[in-house]
Amino acid sequence: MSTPEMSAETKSEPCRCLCAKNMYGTSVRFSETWPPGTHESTSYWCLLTQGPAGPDEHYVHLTRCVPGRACYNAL
Amino acid sequence: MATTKIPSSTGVSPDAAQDMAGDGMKTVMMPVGVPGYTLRQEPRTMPATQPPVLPINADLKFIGKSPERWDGPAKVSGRARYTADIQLPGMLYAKFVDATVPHAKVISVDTSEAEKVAGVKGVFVIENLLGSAKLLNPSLEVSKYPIVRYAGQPIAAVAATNPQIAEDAAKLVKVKYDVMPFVVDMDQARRADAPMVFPGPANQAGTAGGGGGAADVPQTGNIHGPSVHTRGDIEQGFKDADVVVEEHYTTQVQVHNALESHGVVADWKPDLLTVWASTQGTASVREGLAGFFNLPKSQVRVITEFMGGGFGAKFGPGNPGVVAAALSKQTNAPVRLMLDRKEEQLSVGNRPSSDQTLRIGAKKDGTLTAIHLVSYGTAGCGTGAGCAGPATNMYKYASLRTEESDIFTNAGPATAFRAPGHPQGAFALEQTIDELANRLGMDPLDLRDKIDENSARRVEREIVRNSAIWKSRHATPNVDHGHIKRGVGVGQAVWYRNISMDSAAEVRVHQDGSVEVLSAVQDIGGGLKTVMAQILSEQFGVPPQQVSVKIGDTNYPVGPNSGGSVTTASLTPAVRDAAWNAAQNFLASIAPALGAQPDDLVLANGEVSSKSGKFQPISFRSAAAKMNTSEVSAQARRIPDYDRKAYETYGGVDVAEVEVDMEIGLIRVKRILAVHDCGRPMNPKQTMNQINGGVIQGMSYALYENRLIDSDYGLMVNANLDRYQIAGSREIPQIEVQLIQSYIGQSSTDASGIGEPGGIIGTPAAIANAFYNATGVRIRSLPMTPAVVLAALANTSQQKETA
Repeated sequence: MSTPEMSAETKSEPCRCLCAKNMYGTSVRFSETWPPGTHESTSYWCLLTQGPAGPDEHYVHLTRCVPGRACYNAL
Repeated sequence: MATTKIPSSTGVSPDAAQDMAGDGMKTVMMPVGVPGYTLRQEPRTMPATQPPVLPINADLKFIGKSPERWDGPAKVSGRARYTADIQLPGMLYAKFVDATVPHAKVISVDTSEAEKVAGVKGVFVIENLLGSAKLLNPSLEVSKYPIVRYAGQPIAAVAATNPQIAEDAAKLVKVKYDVMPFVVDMDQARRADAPMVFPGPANQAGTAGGGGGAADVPQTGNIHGPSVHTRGDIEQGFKDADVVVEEHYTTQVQVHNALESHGVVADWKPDLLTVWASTQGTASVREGLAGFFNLPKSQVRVITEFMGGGFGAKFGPGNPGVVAAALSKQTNAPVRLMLDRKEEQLSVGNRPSSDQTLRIGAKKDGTLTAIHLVSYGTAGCGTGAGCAGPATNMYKYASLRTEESDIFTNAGPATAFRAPGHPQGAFALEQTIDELANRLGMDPLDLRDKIDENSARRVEREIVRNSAIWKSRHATPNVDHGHIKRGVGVGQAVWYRNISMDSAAEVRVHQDGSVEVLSAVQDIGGGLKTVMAQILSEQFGVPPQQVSVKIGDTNYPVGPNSGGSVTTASLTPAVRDAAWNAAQNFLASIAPALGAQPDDLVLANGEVSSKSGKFQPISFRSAAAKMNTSEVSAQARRIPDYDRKAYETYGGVDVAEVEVDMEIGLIRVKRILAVHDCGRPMNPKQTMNQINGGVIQGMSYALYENRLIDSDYGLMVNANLDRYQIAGSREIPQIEVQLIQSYIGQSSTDASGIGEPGGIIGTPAAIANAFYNATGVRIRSLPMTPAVVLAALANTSQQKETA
């Protein structure tokens, strides 16, 4: 198995309302690196809307639900 | 640290290695590899408290065997209670009011007429929990309701005393829309002048109005991406190539269609919210409801005793969960909300489409020098359309570049779907590899032997190579005469060893000799209850049907969410560790009555015996009667894999035989050979059942399934099972599953999961490669309907693929 460089991971703590299947199952949310090549096949939803948009009507994503977003909730 | 050999027989006698070095660890030899091919012993270091190493399945009595399903009688007799079977006193029935347009601002929701209907007890309207957030588009701020982004989006719900009243009343809710331009076609959505699904642009980092600005992943119009991943020098890689193959592939949107729809029964009481849910994660539902309603987790209980499948779409409470709970709180009554088939197809998930351009460069000997994948896909108004997993992880290469983009459309959002991104990625990759083999003049299995480092798949290819179906494959394509042409093709699968540390179990032994195991984990249909019973049987020597398995309740020790093929790999070691520890506590409890020391006692084959011969062996039940308390128990939680760096991926090899009717464009799949591995198969029959299901779902995806949305109205036109075509019994081919034991030495059970890698990933590609073998024509678009087949056959511009 090859291990490519991961260039698209957020370095910030994601919003506590960001949800995903979190298939890698650690007890700390999003704390582990996704297996290479699978990061972009993950679907996200917002705890507060139970849908793909946040309360600010923009889409939620690991790379979007970061500090600075108006609806961001820290852990 | 001490080193011991593998126990010679059952492996469950108390002869664990002692922690000689006092560091809390021990090193033992474990079976690794495939029996009959590569089996060997390798050392593994683990906590000294771990139970003895299990030998391979051939040397076990219950684990690795295939007893009948523990809960089979309950299922076939109707005693099994699914969420929709739950009946509570005073329970109300809820029905959603769904959006009838694909894109709109909701101006008002008038529930007055619905509330007047006799029997209606409550109405809930979904409002925007805006909090401190600001809308990107200020003109939208007048609305307190979420923007409608797809037809079928839930807007409100009505609770009534029976389902018919709820449905009738829901139709009386008047929703006033400010209809907005929409786009449902992915290609149209990519255009600069396309209607925007989300207001934007959002790539101004941290600005008021949200959106955030993630580094490296731009948003342009409806395009989120590309997300770029690289390894090595891709330009040099293609310069180094002797052969370059570049092709374009498309795949469609697939809808989950689990037998049981999404739904819950919620019972809100002042001190406890109890929810029966059809879910793949009792823990995820509890966490979601606790978070949404700001409740302590200890005041939310989720129960899933039986559930009818999810395929990845059932995590968290979803709108059904929060709306039912809100209605229950509002009405002071239990509320049941189960989706119907149309809602199931529209609002709770799907597999994204893909549009892939894949370019692969190779040396004359097959060595891959470069892989370049550019993919677009629509996950509707969600994300997750990437499909680079197979290209990234299946083969060895010198350089890689993947560029994945999501295209937003006004369609229902995708959710995880059995091996997210992988069936579509493998459809492109495995055909391109096949084409590369043809260009190089190599056998497709020989080329894969050259570029695939996975040792289990090497064994699997050897099994394929020696199979009758593969030996019947035409050496060159398109050799049959007449209008029926036959072909055989291969497709491989790759998946990942994912582990959830939220995996715990408790085992109790009672004085009457009964044994039970408890965990909050849910069985989504794979047969986990049976496997848990087998583990206890191996430890205590009693038949599985005499073991009590209690799962699917958050009152029990935490269980993993069942996604990513984690459940068996994650939970079974905790069950075995708990069983082992409970057995030690049991022996300590009975030792005084037997006049022996605990370490003189052996528990095996349903008996307790004395190593020193102090007494004749007695039955487990008789021994239990001598316990000095009425119950002994032990709880264990998952510990990390022993050697996490090793064996990160696994998979399988699928082979398809097809017949193609060249006149009407019909593909008939005649046979499938599926050769797969998943560590230690805990229950081979159940594992093979899962692979059977994956093969059928993969074949159905390849030939039939397709979500269709009318571009003029933005409505799904086949949102029911009478119009959304799924493979039925007449289409199912002969399926032969060969399951290999592939020991990897990672945990006290050494099990892995099979839900993802088994069939859904490799089968579509195998069918496509078989089509080429039959016809000499490539088919690069799914589903392979007669129209697509005839179009491909009519395309005379295809290049010959020989060297």
